[in-house]
Amino acid sequence: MTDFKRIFGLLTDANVEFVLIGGLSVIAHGHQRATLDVDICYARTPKNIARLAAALAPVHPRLRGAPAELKFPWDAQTLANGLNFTLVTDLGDLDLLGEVAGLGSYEDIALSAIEITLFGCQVEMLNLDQLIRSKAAAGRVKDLLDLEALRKLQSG
Amino acid sequence: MWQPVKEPWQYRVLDMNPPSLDVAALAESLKLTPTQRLENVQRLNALAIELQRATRDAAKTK
Repeated sequence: MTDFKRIFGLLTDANVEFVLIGGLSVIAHGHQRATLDVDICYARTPKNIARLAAALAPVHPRLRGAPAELKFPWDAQTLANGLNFTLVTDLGDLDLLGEVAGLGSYEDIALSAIEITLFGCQVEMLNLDQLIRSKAAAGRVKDLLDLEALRKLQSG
Repeated sequence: MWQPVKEPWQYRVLDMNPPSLDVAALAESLKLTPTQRLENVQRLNALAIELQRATRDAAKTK
């Protein structure tokens, strides 16, 4: 089971620049539904990539669903060479996105993101408009189900 | 021999409604803090894992 509290603690203690996206942001905005992982969009600057690699190293990130024998060195170079990573860690599933469909990169998103307190950590999260745009762009069945609730929350 | 239970009439009435958002659940959720909402999801996840484990164990003992 994913330990949300400890994942947020690791990231914020290391001053990683990230925005919470995906299912947890839907839930944090008020729509209660299930999700198993943490999704974040992270800044792709060399400094932030180094922080992210160091912060998560103690929880042994590896590629989710990949064969055990597949080598996946967890370091800043690996992060710099890729963009999006679906990971399993000792604390549970964590998805790292360099870009979000419909919204763009961390720099595009962070300008309008909101700051909330989750488990005692100050976390940046998509605002409701951004979340609706990202869900509309993703367009999967679960995203369309979220959209109805998000639009209801938006209309008050 | 097992016989299916006759479907209560209320189910047929409820099925006539188009699927839609549970606004009462949404209103309840808005009374919580974001952290409380995430804690609820973790409890739900723990329950799902426990149910899966119990189902696996029951299948083994058959």
